[in-house]
Amino acid sequence: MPNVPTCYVITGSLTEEGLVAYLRADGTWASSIADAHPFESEAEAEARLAEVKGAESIITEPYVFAAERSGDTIRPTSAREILRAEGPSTRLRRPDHAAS
Amino acid sequence: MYTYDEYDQKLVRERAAQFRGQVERRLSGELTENEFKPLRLQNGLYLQLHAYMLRIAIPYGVLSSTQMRKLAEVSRTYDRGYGHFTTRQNLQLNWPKLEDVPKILDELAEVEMHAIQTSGNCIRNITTDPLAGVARDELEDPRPFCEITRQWSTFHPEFAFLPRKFKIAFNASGDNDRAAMKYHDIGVKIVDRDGERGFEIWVGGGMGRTPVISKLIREFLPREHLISYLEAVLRVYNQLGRRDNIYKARIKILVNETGPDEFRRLVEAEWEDTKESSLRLDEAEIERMRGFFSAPDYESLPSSDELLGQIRSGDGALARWARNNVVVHKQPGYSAVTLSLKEPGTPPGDLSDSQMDTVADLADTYSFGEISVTHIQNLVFPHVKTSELESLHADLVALGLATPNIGRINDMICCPGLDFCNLANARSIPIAQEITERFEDIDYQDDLGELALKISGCINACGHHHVGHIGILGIDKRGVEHYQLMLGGSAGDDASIGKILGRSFPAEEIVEAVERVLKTYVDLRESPEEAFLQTFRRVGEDPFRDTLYGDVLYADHSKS
Ligand code: SF4
Repeated sequence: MPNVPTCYVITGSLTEEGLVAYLRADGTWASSIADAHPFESEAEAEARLAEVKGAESIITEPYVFAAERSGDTIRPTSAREILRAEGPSTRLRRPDHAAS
Repeated sequence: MYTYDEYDQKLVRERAAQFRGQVERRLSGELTENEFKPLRLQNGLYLQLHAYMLRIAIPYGVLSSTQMRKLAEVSRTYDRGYGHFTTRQNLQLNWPKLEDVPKILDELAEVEMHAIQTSGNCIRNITTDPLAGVARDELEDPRPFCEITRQWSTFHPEFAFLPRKFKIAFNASGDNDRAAMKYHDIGVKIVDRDGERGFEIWVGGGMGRTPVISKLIREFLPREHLISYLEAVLRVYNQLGRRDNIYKARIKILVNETGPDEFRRLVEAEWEDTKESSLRLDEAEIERMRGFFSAPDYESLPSSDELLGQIRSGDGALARWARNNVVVHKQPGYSAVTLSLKEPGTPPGDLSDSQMDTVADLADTYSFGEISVTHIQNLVFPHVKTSELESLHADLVALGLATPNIGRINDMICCPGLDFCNLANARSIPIAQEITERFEDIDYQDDLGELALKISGCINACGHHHVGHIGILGIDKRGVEHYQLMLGGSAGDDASIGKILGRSFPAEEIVEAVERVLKTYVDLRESPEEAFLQTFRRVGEDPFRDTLYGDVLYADHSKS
């Protein structure tokens, strides 16, 4: 198997809404992993994380995770990060019989 | 049902106002997440995988139609138009914004609801039989005692920071335990001794990482001592329960480590000092509390057992539903009806806002405005005239809540799993959906008979997998979801903990594995009347292990 390059992404939950967010290169937060800044090394990501941790009112419990990178695409590898990136895999509400 | 007095009302409103201030300070950055977390958890607010989650308390599962309408409104206004009923008979909203939570709590307070005791290391929401007050087999309605216990436990200053969370359940129906009482930190069973009413006290049950069946520590407690005895148990636990290791902090570990006899001695010694204190319940207080749970204004009707028998003996959808979802009632002419929240392909326990509204309307029409939530994640209309079953059935069919699968394989408990939960290892809802679709044939489900399947997305066991006749546990194998299968558990009076028979299965094989287990059961049962659990207990685990791990398809699973 060819070696897939690894990158590191900073993520957390937006304090106001609780929604998943990823750190962009410009320091703002994106809802899509596609907009995340891929750090080349874990050390670099951890150093940036230390700075981000000060922004408590914006982001809650930020952390770094490793992902795969092919071209411009960042792909999380664990089931947990895939689900965080894509949202629940199940339909969000029951079929609305009552409204029909 | 219980109605708030001015103290209850004040307490709940003040709590909402206090939380509003805490949220404002969190949003302004004045409070860090570390400082805010214990405060939000005391108000039922979690931060989950995708969003905040608010767990709303439904004390002992009892809801009025007015409260159900409010839940609909709150789900619609502040969430994504649905809610999820849980095994503690509560309701979870999966997407509230932080700034909206104080507004939600204000709205809930209007209908005597809140999110207190749904999180944190306190005494959690008290649970009981969803048929409380109407079950023919109950000695008496346990809810007055649940409410007395709730009032004692809410904001009890001594028990605000227990070593771990603490769960209490009541059962009043002898061997027909419908509250999984033996898997609670304390289980209270209402019993008769020589004509005197009192309680058996069971302590130290639980699921999670270390499943334990509780021990009987008092065979008969006179009812006036209920609270003083519970307090004595809590005091011993609060003092001696471990705080150094979260996995060893539940009372089940303490009871195990001290031994039930020594634990009993400690509790009785503590109780000696307090049993004649102000904690002693007087008859007038018990009577006052009973007044809140008096029977609704039933019509005086003849017995409807024969009518129910006739309805059940048909061969259409109504008959099957009446056989599976309707039970007899203690009041002549009435029945209790379970609304299935297990429609194939939908997340178990979920209800949309508009379904909630219609359920509330139907409760007004058919059930004196009363609804109960079951720990198996369904709803019950407790007081339906048997003569109106046909009409109710038609209304529930239109609403998608008449799936006739209560007690069948598809009537499963399923936790939110990795689709929502921050602690999860694997998804549980898609597995539940695949199972409900695979076994959708209701004739097949009826042929399988009584079968409790339970799924958890991690070892915390919110989906009660240890006590499923068939239990499924999600695990993480190097970042990939896998599922452990266990067999032979029971949450009832014949409590038993399921056994793991071999290695786990990847997601694409777990439903096939369940199907193999079912085929083996059908092959081995002595008659169609022998239920899955009976067969498993009679033949043991070997034939099931063989079917799961013995052949080529599963050859690699049997290696270790
Ligand atoms: S069992 Fe685990 S995954 Fe399921 S709700 Fe509980 S903590 Fe979450």
